[in-house]
Amino acid sequence: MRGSPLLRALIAFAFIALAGVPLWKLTTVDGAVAAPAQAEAGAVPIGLRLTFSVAPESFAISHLGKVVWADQSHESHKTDESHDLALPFPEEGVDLVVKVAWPRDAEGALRLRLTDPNGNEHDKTVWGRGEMEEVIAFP
Amino acid sequence: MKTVFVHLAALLFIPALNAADRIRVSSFSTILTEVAQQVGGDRVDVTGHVKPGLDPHEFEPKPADLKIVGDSQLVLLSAKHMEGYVGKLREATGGTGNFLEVGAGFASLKIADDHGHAHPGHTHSEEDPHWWHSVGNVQKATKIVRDALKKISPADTVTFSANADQYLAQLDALQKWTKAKLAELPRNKRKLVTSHDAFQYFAKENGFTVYAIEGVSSSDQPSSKRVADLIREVREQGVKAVFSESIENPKVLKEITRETGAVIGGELYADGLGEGKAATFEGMYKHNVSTIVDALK
Repeated sequence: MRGSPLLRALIAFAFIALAGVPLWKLTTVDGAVAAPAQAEAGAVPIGLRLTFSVAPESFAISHLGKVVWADQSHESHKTDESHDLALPFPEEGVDLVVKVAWPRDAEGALRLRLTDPNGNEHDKTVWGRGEMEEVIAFP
Repeated sequence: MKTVFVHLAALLFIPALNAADRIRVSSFSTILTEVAQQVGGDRVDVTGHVKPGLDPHEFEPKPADLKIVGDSQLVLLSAKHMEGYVGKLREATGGTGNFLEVGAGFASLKIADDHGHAHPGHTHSEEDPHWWHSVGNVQKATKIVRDALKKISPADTVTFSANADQYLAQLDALQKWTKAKLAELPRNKRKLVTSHDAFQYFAKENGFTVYAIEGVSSSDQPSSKRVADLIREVREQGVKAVFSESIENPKVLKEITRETGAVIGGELYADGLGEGKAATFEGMYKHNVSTIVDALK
């Protein structure tokens, strides 16, 4: 192969960089969404669907002090989001701490629909303005 | 010069006049003493007959207490059979006293088990009289006291309403703090093993099950069967900690911890306000919640 070694090095670097983009896309989940790092002991699948009356700037759902689902991207969001969680769900139920930031101090409502391990859906709604933090008990 | 003397005399006279004008309130609950002081502000003169740290189940009014009650415009009682001496108080006022049984209208909760023996110190009842362990009940009590003070002094309606609103907002914030703190504790770990059965209202409001060693009064003594049953329950439920009380002898609790491996999680204020940080309702309630959550999680 002919040509300057510097030129060849630059071509090789460009090739690696171009190949890296699709690889990065394939191996990365949506950067804004934080998934739970590790399932807790006794965790079972729980479905959670959030419906916002006003698209939030950010939101976070925590269980026993750990964030289990968050979107902190501060970009324009959908008003309807669903996520599968893995949490312990004793018959006494669970408390989820919900933090939401609505833009420009807007008033908004959040409807949470939780599908428990038995397939039963539990429906709760909370209202807030600007930044809201509430503890929601299920069932 | 004469005008200056008149003004000075007026300034000296006004506080004395206000003190004489204050509504005289007698309280037989440390919680209601705080509520009356918060709502009444400088328009009330509250005598708390049951002092913080004292056992209200064992309290008996002395002649000095009866004299003050006889001169009071409002007498605040917890009710729910907490004040077994209420007859003496009524006698002290010649049957004309303005008695307000604050907790009488609150929905009653029964104690956990039939302990099978009488409860000295107050009329026997299976209901838990410790309604103040529900923040919601203290909010109701605040409104009841506010309305009673308004009736006595309609001219101070605006002051009493503003003071009550401020205190109610503090209680709202306390309730929110409590929910956030309790969210650290899994719901299936909310088992409260205490010396005497005083936390039914707390349990109902916050999703706990109570396993009490003694009955509703702090002077009750548990039977050996009761202790054996509790040891079995603590083992079966995997309870990590049990709680003593500020005015209790934790001897039986120590026996339970020896038999089960549970630890003593700390002291709770069951019968009213304490001292130091627990000298206010907010301080007492936060102490109890933090002690419970930190020991059981």
